[in-house]
Amino acid sequence: MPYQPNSPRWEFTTGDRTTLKTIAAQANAMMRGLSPASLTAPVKRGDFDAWKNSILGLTPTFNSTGPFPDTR
Amino acid sequence: MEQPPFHIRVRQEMAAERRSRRSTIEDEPAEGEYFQEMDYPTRDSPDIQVVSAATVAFGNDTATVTVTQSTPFPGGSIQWGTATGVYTSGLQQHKKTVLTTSLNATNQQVLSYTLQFKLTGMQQAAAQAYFGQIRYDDGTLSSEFTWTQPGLNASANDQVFFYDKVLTDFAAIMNWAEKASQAGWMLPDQWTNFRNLVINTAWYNYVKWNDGR
Repeated sequence: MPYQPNSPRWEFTTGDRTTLKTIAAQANAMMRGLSPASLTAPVKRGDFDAWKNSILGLTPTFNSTGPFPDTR
Repeated sequence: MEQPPFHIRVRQEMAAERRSRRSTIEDEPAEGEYFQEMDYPTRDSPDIQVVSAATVAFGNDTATVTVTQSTPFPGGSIQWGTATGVYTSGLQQHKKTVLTTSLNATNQQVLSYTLQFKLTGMQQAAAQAYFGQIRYDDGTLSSEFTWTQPGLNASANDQVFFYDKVLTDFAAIMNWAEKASQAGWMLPDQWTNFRNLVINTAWYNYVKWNDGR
């Protein structure tokens, strides 16, 4: 994403960043029709709901005080 | 004698109601009390008493809450939740009271005032009880109403199939999640779009439900 040193932003905790990495991997599995849990069985409703809720449960902090360092 | 057209009769009935109200005011003036002649309820109408109870009709994913009575009453906002007295989804929808007509048992047109809210996205995996209340514009609250929305009979073990159009959303989500994981932040628009993409996958997916749908 482009570096915009003075734009307000949502900042993620270290835990959230780990969750985001997991979310990406799980989306990759579900896109191929595979359960993120086993990578061999089909996607189950429980897999999908857990994945969706893990994203909607993220609580980043809004920070409007720039300038921000370039962390890309 | 031939009846006048319906819209003329409606006007005549409303005019008669106004005359009747004016007559009451003139015949029995209440000392010190302020009367306001009006056709429609306004925020300045604290004398209005809301007496009818709300009724709820529900489909699979929607619920329609309706209050109807023969005399004017204020508009209002609805709030609801999944526990009695705890309205977590609140006062987001404001509606005005509208004048409606219906046929009675003897096929005569009847005028009434109706306030109606349509709630969507109410269906959960299992049947869910909801509790709601209306806050009227004059500051009064309705009594609590409740209903049980039927569930999907869904199980965590149901297999989920996705439409092809969802696949591009998954790809975009992967992309944004990876970048946010590395950078540790998102711009406000990116965060909104990211969450919307996730919600889209839930809307567009196709689930093989236990009941065979």
